[in-house]
Amino acid sequence: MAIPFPSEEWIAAYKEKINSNPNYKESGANWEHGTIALILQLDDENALQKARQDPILSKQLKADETAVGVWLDLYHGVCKEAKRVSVDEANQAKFVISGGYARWKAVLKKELDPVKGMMQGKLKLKGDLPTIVRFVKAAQDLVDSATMIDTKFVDE
Amino acid sequence: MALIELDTDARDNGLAGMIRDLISQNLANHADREKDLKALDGNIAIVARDIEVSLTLVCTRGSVVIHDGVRPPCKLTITTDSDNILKLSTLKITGGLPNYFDKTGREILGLLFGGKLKIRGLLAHPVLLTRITRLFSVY
Repeated sequence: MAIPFPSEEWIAAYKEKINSNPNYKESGANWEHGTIALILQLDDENALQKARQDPILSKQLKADETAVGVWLDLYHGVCKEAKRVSVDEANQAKFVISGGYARWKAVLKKELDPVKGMMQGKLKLKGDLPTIVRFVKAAQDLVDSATMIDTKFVDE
Repeated sequence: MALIELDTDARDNGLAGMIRDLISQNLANHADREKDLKALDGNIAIVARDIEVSLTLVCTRGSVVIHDGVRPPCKLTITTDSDNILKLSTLKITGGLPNYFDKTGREILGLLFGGKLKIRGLLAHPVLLTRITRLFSVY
């Protein structure tokens, strides 16, 4: 059954997909550079309304919440923890990638390569870029793991 | 202290922001490369043709202002696909020079000879290219 994005269930499934992705296990084997957070701005009014009507997401979204953070604790090719956090908490991560709902949806549908998206200014990266450049393949494998989830987009 | 900044016209250019961060953070990690920045003089353009994003580093011996688009006259114009731009920054520096003999170096030479990476000004400004490569390199 498709899991609504970005629910806590979706984040748990994301952790499973990362840990069962042999490509990430290899490309992230030397990763010991800290946490990565993804920030999803719920800037699409239609998607936000639909999310508030979704039986799962409606219970998880706070009334005034317009963005969701996904916290990934990664170490040597393993995701030790994946959890939903506030934007303030997400911004404490060593690396933060943020973007609007439509951008993340395009990434998950493989319509937008995240690195190209960053170069085009569609996604924003905060953190030590030289480290990310050394782990571009791992970053791509992390995103690939997310695309393997049977995702339900609330606006569809 | 080196000054690397984005011009207001480049605020929405994601690649420009990445190049600024890359050079700034590389300089923080490799203080010895500041001499390369101080020696840079002239415009260097980077064109990511597949995503239609371009920028120009306007270098004036110690400071760099990054503009959106190509601003002639450019001493160097690097044109390639977006994936390869990051690959350029993974070129290792050995003995102060870019290493074209390891796997990454050979891949970059392959792109160059295969026409997938074009560097206009390569023969006229080889020292400038070496200096900017050192500033880009994350190793």
